[in-house]
Amino acid sequence: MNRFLKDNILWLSLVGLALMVVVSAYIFRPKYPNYQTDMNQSLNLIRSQSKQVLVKELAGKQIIDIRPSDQFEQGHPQNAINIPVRQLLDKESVVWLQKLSENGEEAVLCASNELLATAPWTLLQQLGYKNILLLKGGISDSGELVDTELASSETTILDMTAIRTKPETVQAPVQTEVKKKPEAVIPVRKAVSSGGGC
Amino acid sequence: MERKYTLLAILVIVLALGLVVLPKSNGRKEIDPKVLLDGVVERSRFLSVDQVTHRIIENDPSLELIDLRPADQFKTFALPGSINLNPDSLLSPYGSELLGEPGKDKVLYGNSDLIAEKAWLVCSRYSINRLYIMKGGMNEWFTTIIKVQQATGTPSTTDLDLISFRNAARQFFVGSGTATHTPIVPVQKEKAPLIRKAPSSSAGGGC
Repeated sequence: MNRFLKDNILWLSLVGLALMVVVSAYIFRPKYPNYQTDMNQSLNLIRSQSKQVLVKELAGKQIIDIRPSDQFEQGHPQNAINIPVRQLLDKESVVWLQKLSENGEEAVLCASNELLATAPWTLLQQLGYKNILLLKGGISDSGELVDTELASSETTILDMTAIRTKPETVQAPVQTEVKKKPEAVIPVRKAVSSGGGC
Repeated sequence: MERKYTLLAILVIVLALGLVVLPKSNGRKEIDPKVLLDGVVERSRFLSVDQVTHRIIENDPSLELIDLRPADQFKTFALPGSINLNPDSLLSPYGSELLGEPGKDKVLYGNSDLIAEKAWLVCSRYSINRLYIMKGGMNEWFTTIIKVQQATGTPSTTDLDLISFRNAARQFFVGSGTATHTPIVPVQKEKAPLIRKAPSSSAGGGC
């Protein structure tokens, strides 16, 4: 046995080292949560509105209020749970979200307004929480759910007449009267002929 | 000799197991989700329309405006110096080159904040730095800079300075010749009609 070890110490060292690397990589691998979407799936989230719900469509869905705790205590929707946005990826929150996902339950992410919930919701989608929806609206200070006041479809309100340049700086086409030019008259010479003679 | 090959085979198998266990790499460096969430909470990514407008007027070379609106809206009007980029192309080779340009502050904007927010988050995941959002988008810019504002109540010196700046900025954008898209129609010259005059009848020389 000793001779075996002595003769193959190099190879055994390499095998042991490789085993240590593999075990360490397994132990220290990135723990949940981790990104579950690729680049194209992430880019599709930018325009997608398929996972947005209105206030009237909240029936039967768990409401997740990501406002700060003090705002939640002032008033919140019935049956809503509070996970301040800073704690959204804490261990307890992740375990709860994972359990929700495994049970197939849908939950709706809400904040004071839709904009404040958009970035956290997009992050949760990339982490694989497909059962989390986004409310097209917000929660008022009194805890009531209100519809969005913003144009979620990115409607423009630009008024081009207010942006046009001043008249004196514009090279606008000038309408002038078309002067009738004199007609060009070209005399046509007739071929010379013998006159009528007697 | 056979033992060495056996040990070599064991070594290769162990390394292969390591490849199975280790997470896949897509070639792009990704930021930790918790770090990204901290960035979301911090909200330092937002620049006000006043800040962006000031940098446009000052012709700040480190400012790079990226317009995420549809191409037809971009053609109608866009902030001077902005580049139109389809959100689907943000991480394409062209988009990556644009967003990865060193020494530039890349400011995203749409009509509101919605698309810009999502775009910021997706790009920040892939470690794109110096990425900002113009708060409120073009709609906020139009309402704040272009629309005439009157001082209400008893404005402070700061409020008066702000109104004065916005009035001056309005003149900059409205009075600029580059902001117009009035087409210039060329005047076509009319050709004179050609009339051949019939020769008058004349008697030939005769008696």
